[in-house]
Amino acid sequence: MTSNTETKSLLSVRDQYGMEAVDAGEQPVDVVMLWTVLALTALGVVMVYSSSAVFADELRQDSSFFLKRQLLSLGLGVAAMLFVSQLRMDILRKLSAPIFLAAVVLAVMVLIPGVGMTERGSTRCLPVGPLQMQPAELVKLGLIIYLAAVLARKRESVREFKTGFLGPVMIGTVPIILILAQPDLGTTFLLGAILFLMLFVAGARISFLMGAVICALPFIWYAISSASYRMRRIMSFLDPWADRQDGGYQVVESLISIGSGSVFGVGLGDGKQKLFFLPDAHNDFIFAIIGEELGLIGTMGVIVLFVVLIWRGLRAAFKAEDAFSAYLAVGLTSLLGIQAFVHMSVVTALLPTTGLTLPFISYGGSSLLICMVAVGLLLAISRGRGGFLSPAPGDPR
Amino acid sequence: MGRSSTGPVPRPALRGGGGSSSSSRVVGESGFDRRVVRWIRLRVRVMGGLLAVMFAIVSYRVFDLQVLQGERLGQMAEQKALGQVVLTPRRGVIADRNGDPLAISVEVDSVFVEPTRVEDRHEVVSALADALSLDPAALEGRMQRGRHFAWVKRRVSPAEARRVRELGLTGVHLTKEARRFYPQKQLAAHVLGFAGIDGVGLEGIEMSLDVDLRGIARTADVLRDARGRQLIPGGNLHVDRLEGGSVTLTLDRTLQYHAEAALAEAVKETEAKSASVVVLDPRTGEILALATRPTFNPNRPGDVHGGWRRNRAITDLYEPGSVFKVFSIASVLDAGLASPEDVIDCEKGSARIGGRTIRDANPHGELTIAEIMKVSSNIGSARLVERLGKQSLVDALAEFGFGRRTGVGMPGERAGHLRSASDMSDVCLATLAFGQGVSSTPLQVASALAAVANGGRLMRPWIVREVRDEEGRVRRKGQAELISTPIQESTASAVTGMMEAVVREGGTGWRAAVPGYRIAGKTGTSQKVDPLTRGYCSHRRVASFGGFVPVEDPRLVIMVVVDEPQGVKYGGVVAAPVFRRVAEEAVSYLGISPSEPVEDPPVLAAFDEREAGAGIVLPGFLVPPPEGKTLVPNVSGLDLRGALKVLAERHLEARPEGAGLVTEQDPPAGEIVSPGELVTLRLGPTG
Repeated sequence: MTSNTETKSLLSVRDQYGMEAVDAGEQPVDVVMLWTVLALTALGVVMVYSSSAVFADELRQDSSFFLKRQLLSLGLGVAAMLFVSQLRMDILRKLSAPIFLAAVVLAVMVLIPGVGMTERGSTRCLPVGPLQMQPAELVKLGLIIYLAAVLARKRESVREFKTGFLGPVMIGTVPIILILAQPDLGTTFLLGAILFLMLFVAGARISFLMGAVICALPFIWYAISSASYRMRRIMSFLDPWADRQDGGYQVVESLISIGSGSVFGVGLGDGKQKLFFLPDAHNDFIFAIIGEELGLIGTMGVIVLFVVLIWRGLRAAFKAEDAFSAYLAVGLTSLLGIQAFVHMSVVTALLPTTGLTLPFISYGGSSLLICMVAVGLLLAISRGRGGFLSPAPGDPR
Repeated sequence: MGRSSTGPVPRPALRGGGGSSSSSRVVGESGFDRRVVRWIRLRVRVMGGLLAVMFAIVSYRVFDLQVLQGERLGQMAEQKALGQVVLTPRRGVIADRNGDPLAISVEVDSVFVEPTRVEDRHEVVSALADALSLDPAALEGRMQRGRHFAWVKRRVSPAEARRVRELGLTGVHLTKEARRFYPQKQLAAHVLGFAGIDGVGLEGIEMSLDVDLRGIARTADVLRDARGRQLIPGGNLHVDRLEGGSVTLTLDRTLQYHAEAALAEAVKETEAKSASVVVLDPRTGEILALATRPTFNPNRPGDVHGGWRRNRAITDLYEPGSVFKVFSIASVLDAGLASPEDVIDCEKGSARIGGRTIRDANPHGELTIAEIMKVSSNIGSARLVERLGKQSLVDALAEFGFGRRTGVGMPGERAGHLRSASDMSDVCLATLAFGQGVSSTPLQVASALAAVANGGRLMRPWIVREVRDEEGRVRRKGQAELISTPIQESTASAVTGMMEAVVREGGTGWRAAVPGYRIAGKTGTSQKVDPLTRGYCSHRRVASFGGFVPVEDPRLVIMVVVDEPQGVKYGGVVAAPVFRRVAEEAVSYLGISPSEPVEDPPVLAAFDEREAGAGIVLPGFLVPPPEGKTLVPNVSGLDLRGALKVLAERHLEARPEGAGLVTEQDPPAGEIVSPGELVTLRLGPTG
């Protein structure tokens, strides 16, 4: 990548595609991934409007309140994605430590009484003028970038416990504790899973990883049992129907919602569950509304789109030209994949209720923006010609 | 670390600190051990596989929920969506002909409790019993019976609701319930009737049009969220906005007020047992006012004895007495058996008919038929109907509507009794001529008088102008309906001329006169039948006056019946002034122009009151004010809004003092002042 291409069109990636094709050796941006993401965001905008209109009308007397904000976030997100897709990975790697530090500082700030905004018992937002920002979203990205940089630097010593394994684990533990303090158990779990996967891919010994998980178990147990509502969530997860009016309410409504969609759905906009039955229909449970209104066609469509995204994400890792880019691609792919998986699992009662959004689709500016940035980074990596993970001649593929 | 991403430039291997566990090491182009890179590649693929498995699980789960369990879950959603709730509309509005509401439904608070959510039952019971003045034991019992729901007190006052709210007890809630409210209090109470606490009309229009007013309770598919709110899909059907059909009456609130005020005054002065006024539009039969005393406040119907709530104008029968001469004489004239100038011998006040003696109050010799009407000679009218015969008279009177219900559409109406010709003795025929041996309701007499006023065409009296359904569509419309034509137009005008003489000087009904207006009327004073002896009582009378105004184009028929007045009992004395007061207010309110220019007040002394005894304090005439001046109206008893409206009609300013109803006014009613004069109103609490 030359400075020449950097100044070229930030607006049209397809232009870039045409130009890159004739440019010396540069690979085209991953158009499949781009279209996959645009399809997801388009569906997201429609579903946010459908699932929030009644609620927004009651809340703000403006049925398109959430739609407008989501469209604004999407515009910002697309711009951010296009911009990030032009970034040079070596510059990003140099910035990895400051980005991580900034995310950690924000995550600390949100915990300071009076600074963070507490909502429903959790302190997750920082006020930024008229808007709100969720440091947890930035922490996800910051941790992945920094972990990628650290793991790339440590190389094979990742296999060594003291020199290579403990460091990244410590780095990961800091934001995990901060997010746990909010408390945001869903994101905590997500960060843990990303840390696990990145260490795994980077070559950490399975025994170390298993040991770390076993060490974490008591803490996980404490985190769950310390708050009665979490305990209740677990119990109602195990048998949501037994506690239908209380703890299992959301889960049951979610199951009814998704189940009543059957194969073809009740029709876009005709879902009944969003009529205050299913709280957080437009963010934490949007997959249920997709299931209700668009049926199996809709849910499978979304699943397929995410599978394609993961495939293209990991493909980008193989196209990466260096270890940092490869690890980054793995981290970002696992972020999007796991978050989507957790969201769908919560909605279908495969996992206990957490507050994770469905990437690209759920309402939420911070979440959408970070996801778009993640895709931008994956797109940037996807243009590489391979190198780090390319099989050497004679290697088995 | 440098620009490591610039390309696949081979770089020297950088050994990490510490040893490596791999025994043989092939260094790759990125500075990694090729074996390690192979491992990493494998692990990326493993990770991809892991994610694929995860999404496969989710896919199966979604398939399971949507296809395998889809029907069951869909039914659950359906069941919930089809949870039906009966929406009872608020009772519709009853309004007068101008749309002024006479009966409305207002939202008031009711207190209920969720016994299972109450923390300290004993404390809650004592606190609520205290705040709402309830019996703690009864409340305790109710709370034990209902596990999830129990009424504490329904339709509480705003003060009670505030007290409950301030208590802030968990499990105790307030909910809005509709309550019937009659903003005009006693006005037209007998017409309106009232509705019970459960919203069922129990009397009057509230009862006869109960179904329309209640509206159709509809079931709606309701969704209930965790907060217990009800949502109706479609959105446009909102529980709060549901209202039953509305009813518009033919009554005019202002005329009704004047009728009630005049009646109340008369009842007070004469200490009568009861009294009624009916005001009709003779052209259409519309009832413009219908007042009865004693009365009640429909907001608190339980406060009075049941008899007070009876709409006596349609439920009580009386012998119409001399007013009936209008119909008997008209029947004879219409049959062509006499002309107004014919002379009848009134036999010096005493005549033997069928073995009985009939008397006049004042003896007369020979009188024309017009004079018989004017002086109200019983003998004259009795002799006159002999020409017609029993059957013809009964038929003619039936044509006037006697002996059958008018069908006005209010509950409890009675038909009255008109003897058949076959079981009628000669005496009966004679007495029937002056309204004895026949019974009718005040409304029947008013309606028959309206036929005379309307050129001989009897219109059905009606009171419901319009009934609209919940959506505001007109469901029924009242219409003028011709029932019969008892007399020809020429007869009607001849009789009207005779009746006009009654109200002039020398007539028994002079007290009904309104200066400037041509009025036709007839007095009546009938004896009451003693229920024990079946004979007439000597001291119990019914005083009545009926007439219409203006003669040249009758707009109003006013019938006044006063039952058992004390002191002077003559219709001309007791009932005619009520007619005058109502007529006076009505012509001014309706803007009916005077028939002739108003002259000086008539000389009262030159009159020969035949029905009246001596020594009566004559009520003075109200003279229309001179040009550019106005008359101070009587606003006492009105609320401030009503008083201001009445004063504004006369271009008068008001200065209210206090709150409540007008108790005093200065200058007093009847004073002639210049427009713009300031009237001081003292308002006080309701009696």
